[in-house]
Amino acid sequence: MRRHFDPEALLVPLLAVLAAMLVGALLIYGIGYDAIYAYTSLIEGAVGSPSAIGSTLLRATPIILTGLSVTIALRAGLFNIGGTGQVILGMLLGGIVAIHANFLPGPSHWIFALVAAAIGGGIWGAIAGFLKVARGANEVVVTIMLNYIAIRLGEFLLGGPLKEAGSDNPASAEFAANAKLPILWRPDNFTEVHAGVLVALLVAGATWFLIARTSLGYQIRAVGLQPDAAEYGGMSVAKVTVIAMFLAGAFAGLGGAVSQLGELERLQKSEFGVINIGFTGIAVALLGRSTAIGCVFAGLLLGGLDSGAVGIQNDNALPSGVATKLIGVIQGVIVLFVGADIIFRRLSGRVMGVFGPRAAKEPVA
Amino acid sequence: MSRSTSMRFGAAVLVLSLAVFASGCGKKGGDDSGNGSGEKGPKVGLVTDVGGLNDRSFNASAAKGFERAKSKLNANGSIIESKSSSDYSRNLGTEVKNKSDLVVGIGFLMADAVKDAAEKAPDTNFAIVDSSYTGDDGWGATNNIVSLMFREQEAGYLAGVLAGAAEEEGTLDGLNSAKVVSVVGGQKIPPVDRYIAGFQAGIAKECGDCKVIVAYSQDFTDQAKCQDIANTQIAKGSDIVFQVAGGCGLGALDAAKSKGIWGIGVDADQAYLGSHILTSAVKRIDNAVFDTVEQVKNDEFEGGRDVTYGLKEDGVGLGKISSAASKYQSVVDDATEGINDGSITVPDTV
Repeated sequence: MRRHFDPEALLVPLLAVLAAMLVGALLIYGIGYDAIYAYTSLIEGAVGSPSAIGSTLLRATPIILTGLSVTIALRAGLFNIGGTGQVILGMLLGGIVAIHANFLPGPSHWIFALVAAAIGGGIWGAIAGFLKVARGANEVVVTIMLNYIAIRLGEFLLGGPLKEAGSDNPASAEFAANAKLPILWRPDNFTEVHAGVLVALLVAGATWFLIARTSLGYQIRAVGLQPDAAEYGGMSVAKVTVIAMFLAGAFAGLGGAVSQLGELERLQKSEFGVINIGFTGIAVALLGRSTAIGCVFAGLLLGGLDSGAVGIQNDNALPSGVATKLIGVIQGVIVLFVGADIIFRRLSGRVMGVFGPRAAKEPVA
Repeated sequence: MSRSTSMRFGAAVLVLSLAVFASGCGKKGGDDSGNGSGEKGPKVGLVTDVGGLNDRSFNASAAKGFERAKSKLNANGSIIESKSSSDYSRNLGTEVKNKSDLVVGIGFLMADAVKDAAEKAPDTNFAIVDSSYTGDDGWGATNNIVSLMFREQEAGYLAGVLAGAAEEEGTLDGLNSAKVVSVVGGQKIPPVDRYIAGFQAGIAKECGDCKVIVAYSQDFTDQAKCQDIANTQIAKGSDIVFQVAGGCGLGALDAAKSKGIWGIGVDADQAYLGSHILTSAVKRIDNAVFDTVEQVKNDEFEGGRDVTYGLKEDGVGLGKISSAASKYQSVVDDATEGINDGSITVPDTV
C-alpha cells in the first residue's frame, strides 16, 4: 500500500470529465446548437458569480454525503444501492423531529433533527448489512428493495399520519423555525448557503480519519480487501459489515435531511418518488475513486454541472428541456469513462475486484 | 493505472476530441431567444415542478402558452426545469434576478416557494398554477401573486354529458347494457373533486338511471394502482372509465383499452393514447399563462387574487372527441351553451 500522493489517481477522473464534455459538445453540435455558447453559460451558471457558487455548493452538499455513503460501503467491499431509501428515512425522521420536537431549545433542535436523520438512515442501511451476515442476502438486491419500501413508507406517512391537519395537500406541517439549518452565507436573497455544507465537509473529514487512522477503519479496509483473511486475522466480518452499512445509511440519511431542513419548509409526498441523490452518490463515489476527499471534489463537480444546467436554460443556449437531459448525459458519460478505466485495469490483470478491493494499489482515504 | 493503459485511455480521449472538432467546428446554432422585430414584449420566467417539461400535462401545457406568448406578444425569457423540491426557490430566484416582468410557478407543489419568492421580490409579478392562497383567513400571500385557478367541474360536466348520452343510447362498440360508468380519482383534493362533481352532474343530466362508481387511488404517479381500481370497476360493469389521477390514471386508461371499453382522459388531450379514448377533460394552462403574460404586457396585471378560468374564458374544455362518438357533439354543444349563458350551474363538490 503506497501512501504518497499519486498523480495518476487524479488523471483518470480528469480525462473522464474532459472526454464527457467533448461527447456533450458533439451532441450539442449534432442537434444544431452552439457548444461554445452552451458551455460558457454552463460555466457561468456554475461558478460565474457568488450566487452561482452558492448554488453549486448547495447542490453539491447532499451528493457529497450520499457519495461518502457509497464510499464507506465500497471500502468494506459492499455495494450500497440503497441511498434512496436511506435518504428518505433521513428526511422522515429528521422531518418528524423538526416538526414535533418543539421542546428542544435553540440550535439543539436542528442538531437533534440531523442526529435523528442519521440514525434513521443508519438503521435502514444496517438492515441490509444484517440480512447479509445473518442470511447471506446480497446487499445489492436488499438495498434496492428497501428503496421501494422507503418510498411507499414515505408516501403512506405523508398521505395520512404526517399530513398537516385541515390541508388538502399531501404535505406535512411546517418545520419549526429552530429546526431549520442556520444560514452561513447569503450571496443573494434566493441563495442561502446553510450549515449543511459544513456538515458535508465534517463528515468527509471524519470519513477520511475513520478509514485512514482508526482501528475500525483498518478493519473495514481489511474486510473489503479480503474478508476471509480478515476473519482469520481475528476480525468479525459480520460486525464490520453491519457497522459499515450503518455508517453508509447514516451518511445518506444526513444527505436527505440537510437539503430538507436547509432549503424547504415541509415534507412533501410528491418528493419521494423522484429522489435522485442516492444514485448520484454512486457516480460521486466512482468519480472520487472511493476516497473521502475525492467525494468532495466529485460532488462539487457534479453539483456544478447541475447548477450550470440552470445557467444554460437561463441563457436559452439550448432549448428548454434539453439542458437538464444533456447534463444527465454528461454525468453518465463521466461515470462510464471512469468505469471504463476500471475495466481496462481489470483486463490488464492488475486488479482483482471491480469496485472496492484494490490489490495493486489501494487509496488511503 | 499502468503506463500502457493510461496511454491507451489518453489516446481514446484524443481521438474523440479530434472527431468533435473535425465535425463541429464553425457550425453556429444558438437561438437569440427574441425574434427581433416589433416592440419588445415582457420578460417571462417559467419554473416547472419536478414533473419536468415532458410531462405531457401541466408543465408541457404551460410551456406551450409561453411559446405562444413569445410569437404573438414578443415575450422573451426562459424556462427552468426543477429536478427536486429544493430547486424551486433557487430557480424562481434565478428568474427574479433575470429581471423578469413575470415569474410563473407551475403547479401547487411550488406554493411555498412562490409565496416565499414573492415576499423577497415585492416588485416582481408572480403567478402560480392551481394553488390558491385564499382560505378561511383570506389572502395568505403578498399582493404580487395571482393564482391561476380552473373550473374543472365544467370540463367534467361536458365529459359527463357526452358519456351519459353514449350510455343512454348504448350503441357504441364496447358498451354493455349495465349503464354503469366509473371515475378513478387521484388524491381527494379540490381540483380532482371538481372534475368528478361535474362529471356526475353531466351523467345525471343525460342518463338518469346511470350509476357512477367513484374510487380514489390516493396517488398521482403509480399506474399500477389506478389500473387495479379500473379493473375492479370494469368487473362491476363499468364501460366508460374517467381518469382524474394524472400519471397514475394512465394505468386506468390502459385497463380500459385492454378490456375493450372506453376511457376519458384528463388535464391534457390524451387522444394520442389510442382509439379507446372517448374524449379528454382538458385544462388549458397554456391559455391561462398566455393571458397572464398579456396582462403584464398591457399593464393590467393585478395581483393578490385568484383568477379563475372556465369554459367561457377557454380555460377548460374537451379534447378531441372520438370519431365514433361525434354524433353526440350536439349534446356537448348544448351543454356548453347552457354553461356559458348561465342556465346551467355545475356543482363543484362531490
